[in-house]
Amino acid sequence: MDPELVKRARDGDRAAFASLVAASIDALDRVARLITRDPERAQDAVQEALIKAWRDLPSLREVDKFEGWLRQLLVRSCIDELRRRRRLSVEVELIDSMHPHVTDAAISIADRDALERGFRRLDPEQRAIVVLYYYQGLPLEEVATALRIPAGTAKSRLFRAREVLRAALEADARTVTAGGVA
Amino acid sequence: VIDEGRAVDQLITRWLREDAESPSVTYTAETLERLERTPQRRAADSLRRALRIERPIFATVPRTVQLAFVLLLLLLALVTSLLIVGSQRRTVPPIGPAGNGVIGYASDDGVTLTALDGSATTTRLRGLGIDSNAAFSPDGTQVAFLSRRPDATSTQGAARLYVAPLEGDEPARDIAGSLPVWNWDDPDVAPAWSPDGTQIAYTAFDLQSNRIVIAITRVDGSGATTIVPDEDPLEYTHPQWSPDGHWLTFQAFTRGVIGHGTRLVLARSDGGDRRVLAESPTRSFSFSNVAWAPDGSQLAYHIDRGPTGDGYAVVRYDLETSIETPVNPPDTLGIDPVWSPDGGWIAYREELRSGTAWGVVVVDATAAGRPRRDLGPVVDCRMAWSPDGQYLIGYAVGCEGRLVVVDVDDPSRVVTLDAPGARGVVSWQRIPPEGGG
Repeated sequence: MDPELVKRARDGDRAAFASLVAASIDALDRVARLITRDPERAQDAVQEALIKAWRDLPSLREVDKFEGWLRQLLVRSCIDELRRRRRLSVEVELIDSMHPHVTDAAISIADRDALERGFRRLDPEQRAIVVLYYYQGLPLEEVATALRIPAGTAKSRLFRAREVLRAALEADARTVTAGGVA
Repeated sequence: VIDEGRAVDQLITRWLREDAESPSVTYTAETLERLERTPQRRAADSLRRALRIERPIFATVPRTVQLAFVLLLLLLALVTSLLIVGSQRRTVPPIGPAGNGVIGYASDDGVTLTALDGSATTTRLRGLGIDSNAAFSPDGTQVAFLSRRPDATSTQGAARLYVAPLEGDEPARDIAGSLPVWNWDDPDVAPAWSPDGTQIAYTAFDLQSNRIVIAITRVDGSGATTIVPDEDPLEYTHPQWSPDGHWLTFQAFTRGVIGHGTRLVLARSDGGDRRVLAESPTRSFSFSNVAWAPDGSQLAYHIDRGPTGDGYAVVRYDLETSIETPVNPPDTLGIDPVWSPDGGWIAYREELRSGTAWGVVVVDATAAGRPRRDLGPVVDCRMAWSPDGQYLIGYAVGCEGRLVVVDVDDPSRVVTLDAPGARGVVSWQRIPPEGGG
């Protein structure tokens, strides 16, 4: 992020903030889609995060922390979004599957389905940790900062989440094996 | 196993990257339009924001009515707390400062015991292969730890609870019976000794009901009882005994249901008289580290204030008045409080809201008003006091492989101990004061 743009936006320059939005919205949307597993929820979360960012930008003292700060806002918005929409059933969420276009054969459909099932079992914070760590490749310290939790807690939560995903893959493998024998 | 783990990691990464493939967003213009209608907050609004006072809620209500409403709430809280706490038994401190014995931790090699200077290190008391969370009994004569087989494939019910005397060659014995430990070596789930050393409470996985419950068993493995949540999918975890041994606190956590909060529950050790003391609006690690004051009058814990509170805070909870008192300053985050053995201090970890490092802070837990002590970013996980209250121990930065001991009076005195593969809590043996450390 251009620190000069951030500074100008902090001083109330809407055009500067619009430039920041244009530069970051695609990446924010990708992260939000991965966490929420729903394009509409992702859109709501991204817009909410950007509006909060604009509204509270004058309180940001160090402009070079804008990116991490925006990430924090996005993660919080995604988590809030998932909680607000909790009444939607799992079945409805599954209908919202967001990757019908993927044809890459690198990951089998079975593994993909297993990971999807496992991921949906994670609570919102765990989803965010998995996405920031595995997709964005952030070190655990930065993941912890984004969620405002200590690094040790982030590590523990990542461990739990990874176990859920691994168990889902293993359960799926067992099903496939059993099906093959039968 | 490592290769298999890496394969899972790579699979998750590839899956997420493939899923992230999507066209550019189509709502940029709409977002900018919404932003056009949003004013920036002036700096003068910061206090109101910090206090989470939202104009729309109270803007139309006269101030006198607001004040009356707040006073009414306070009165109701006072009456409720008197009614609730009135039935609680007053406690006498059964524990306090003691002498420092050996330090214990568990790893794949079993339970390792070592002196503060790193000498006299021994490793024994093996369980099933992957051991964790060693905890000495209050009198320092026994150690409990968790263990699971290396080839276990399920996270549910694969771990066991072991106990062994520290003296002699007696092997560790499995006392979990039909109630295996839940969540194997998760560092947040450790066995909790009753103050009289006759029972252990732990987070168990009830194989019959597939529920996560609190199990309480005698040290010989007999007489196991459970405290089962009233509703499914609620689960009870992280039990802690009151100093008089009559009460337990534990975390109530709702698995798999988005939007439910996390609660702190108090119950008699037989599960009766259950009541919710505090609640966090988020499904979080709130109440995973509840510390009883040695005199049993207060609790200290961290709580995630959630979407309206923005992060973890350490608070003290007065069991007589049901009043929560903040421990860390309002512009900081706080976690992992631990009460000193004499009850005079609370140590916890604190992060400035603007920063990324967590430092250890020790604050006065009495009314004496002694100044706080900032010990720096020395302990990263599982902090505990030495039995004599002179030191704090825990994992060094990174939370694995190294333990660190810091002198509370002189934070420049730091001892680092190699603890390869250590898992879960670190425990410091209590011995009679004349035994030295």
